[in-house]
Amino acid sequence: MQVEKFYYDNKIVKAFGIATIIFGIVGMLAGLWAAIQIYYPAISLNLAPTTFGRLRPLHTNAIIFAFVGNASFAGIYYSLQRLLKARMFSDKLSWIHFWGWQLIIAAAAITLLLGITTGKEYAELEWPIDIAITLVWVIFGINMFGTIIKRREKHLYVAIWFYIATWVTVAMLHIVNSIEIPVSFLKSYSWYAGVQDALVQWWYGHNAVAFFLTTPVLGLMYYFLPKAANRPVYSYRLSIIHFWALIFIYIWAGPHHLLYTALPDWAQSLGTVFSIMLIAPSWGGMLNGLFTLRGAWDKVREDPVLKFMVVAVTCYGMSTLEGPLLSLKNENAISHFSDWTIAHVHIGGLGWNGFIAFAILYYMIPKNVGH
Amino acid sequence: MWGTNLYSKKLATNHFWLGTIGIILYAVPLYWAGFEQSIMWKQFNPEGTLKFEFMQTVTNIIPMYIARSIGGALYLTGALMMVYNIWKTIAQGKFIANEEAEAAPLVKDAHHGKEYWHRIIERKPVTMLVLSLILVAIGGLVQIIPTFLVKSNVPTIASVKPYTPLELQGRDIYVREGCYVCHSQMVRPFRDEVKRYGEYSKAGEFVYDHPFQWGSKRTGPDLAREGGVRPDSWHFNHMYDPRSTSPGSIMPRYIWLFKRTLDISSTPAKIRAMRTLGVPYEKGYDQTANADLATQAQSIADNLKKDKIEIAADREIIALIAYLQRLGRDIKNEPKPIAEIK
Repeated sequence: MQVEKFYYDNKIVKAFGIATIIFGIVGMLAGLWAAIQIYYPAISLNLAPTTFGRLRPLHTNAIIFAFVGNASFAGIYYSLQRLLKARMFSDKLSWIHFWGWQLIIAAAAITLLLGITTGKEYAELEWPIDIAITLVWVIFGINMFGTIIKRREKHLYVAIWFYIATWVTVAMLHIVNSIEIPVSFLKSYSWYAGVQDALVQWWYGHNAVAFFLTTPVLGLMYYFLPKAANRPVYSYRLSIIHFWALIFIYIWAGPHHLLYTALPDWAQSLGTVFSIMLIAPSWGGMLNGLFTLRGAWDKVREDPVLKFMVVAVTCYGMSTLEGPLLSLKNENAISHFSDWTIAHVHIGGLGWNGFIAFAILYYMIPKNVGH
Repeated sequence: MWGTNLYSKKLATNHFWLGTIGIILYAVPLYWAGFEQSIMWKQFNPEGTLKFEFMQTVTNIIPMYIARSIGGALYLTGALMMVYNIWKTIAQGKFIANEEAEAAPLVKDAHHGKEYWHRIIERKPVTMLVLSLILVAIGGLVQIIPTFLVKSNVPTIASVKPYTPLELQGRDIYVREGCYVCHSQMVRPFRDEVKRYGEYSKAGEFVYDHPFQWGSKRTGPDLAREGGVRPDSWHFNHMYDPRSTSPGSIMPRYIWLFKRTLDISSTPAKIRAMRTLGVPYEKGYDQTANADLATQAQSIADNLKKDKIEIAADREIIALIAYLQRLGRDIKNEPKPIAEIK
């Protein structure tokens, strides 16, 4: 059979990688600044743009969509090409995706500091930016599916299942939660009101964690961890079960952000039940990652990439156990509205997302091809 | 991608340890802070009064906040070490923009014998996409559709009325300044919360809230029942310098609200948008709304004057005070006991 020669596009990976580093530092600085304001309010400088109420959304948006978002894109563009044995479908679309996303980030940074916000957590961006996000997301989807269609590898590897689920679910969440009625160019009101707005918002908010901070990053884990350890994935069957179970169950868990609120009781209970069930598929992913390292633990001692990955996957396991426990009503009665939640999300953010991002950067950037 | 080795493995290992210690130093104090504050909120004296003022529960955990920021700073320092390490790695390598690879093309009509069922889906990306969409759509539909369509899920309360134009403008300032980041508007049905804030929140109270502002964190106290609890002048002084009314407060000052004039040109469009969303303002109210707004603003300015505070009625702070004084008041006008509300 004739063998074809082709070239992987590393330039786009480089661009997303550099953006990851820049926005990672920016997002962390914003977080640190906000953290200091909590005990030393004067450090807000008494300026409107830098008060906690505006800086905190900047921090969360920068970390989620700019730092982890760019890291996921870098990892996806790197791994997708190699898993499919094909160059990206269109270089032009790759660059529209890249610059579109960075422009959205710039617009987000400016508008959030100016106090232009919809007032819904992690969905603060106003309607023109929402539309831009939708368009760029569609471009990303076309590019990804175009590459899948022209692939040279018949079967899609588990990492790609996660990328596909990420793409389709984020599209659904973003569109439904962002339905709003414009008042002017930079001001809109949410289409939903009160209880309904809260339900839709936390259906979105919880699943932004699930499908922007978890599924793409699990996909990255499935590619980069076996690569760095030079071991096959521990269990193929486990990856099938935990993938389908994870995406199905995750969506239901949103109401656990609204326990004991005015949300109808039946919805709260559904949220709790599905949150508890979520332990199984989440730990399926963690165990599949950790067990992949069986027989390779000596490498962990040597290789910083694997060190980061081990702690990342462990943090993933810890926060996905803690999350369901926090969804129990009696526990939530104590933890909700307190700093407990902030600690919890930072085990996920700093440990899982941050450390995976560092690991893949340390892996991809040097990467001796001839090696 | 640069065809080289990492500049310094040792530096990366140090980044790893600094990051790990940073995470621990971030998370442990904050777990402690959360648990301790929440337990303090819930404590009662033997005679049935709350044991701690909200402020006490805040000042008590300041040391944990300081430790947390040190943890975060360590984590950030580690990330900066990575920047240097990667910079040096890139400098010593040569970037391979297009990396060569080889593979055989896909054979279209390959024969697949008996195989594991999931292998079939793995060959069909569109099937996978559709299956994923169906699976992720189910949970949301089951929860969202009944909440919208079944009326008993959000029982209406007759005394809950739409915001006045000034309150609506004030609410938009509340949203703009990100007040919801630190203040909740949701009194949960617990003994301590009802004691501290008032009647627990009902679904019907929020039917005109586009968007909802329940919040997710109580760095400051809940505001769902704030209306009418304190005089306008208290809010005025508190927003100008929170520590003047509440010693030990960690809230920022909002001095620009006292200088900026409220943009009332947006009022008609806002009323129209709300009407589109089903908020029952009368038809044509968008044209007369600003007159009502001016009257209410003047009455707040007059009220402040009684407490020897001179401020023009067209400032943003006036609108914010109007909104804060409205919060949670409607239900207090409800004549019927809660059990009778259908």
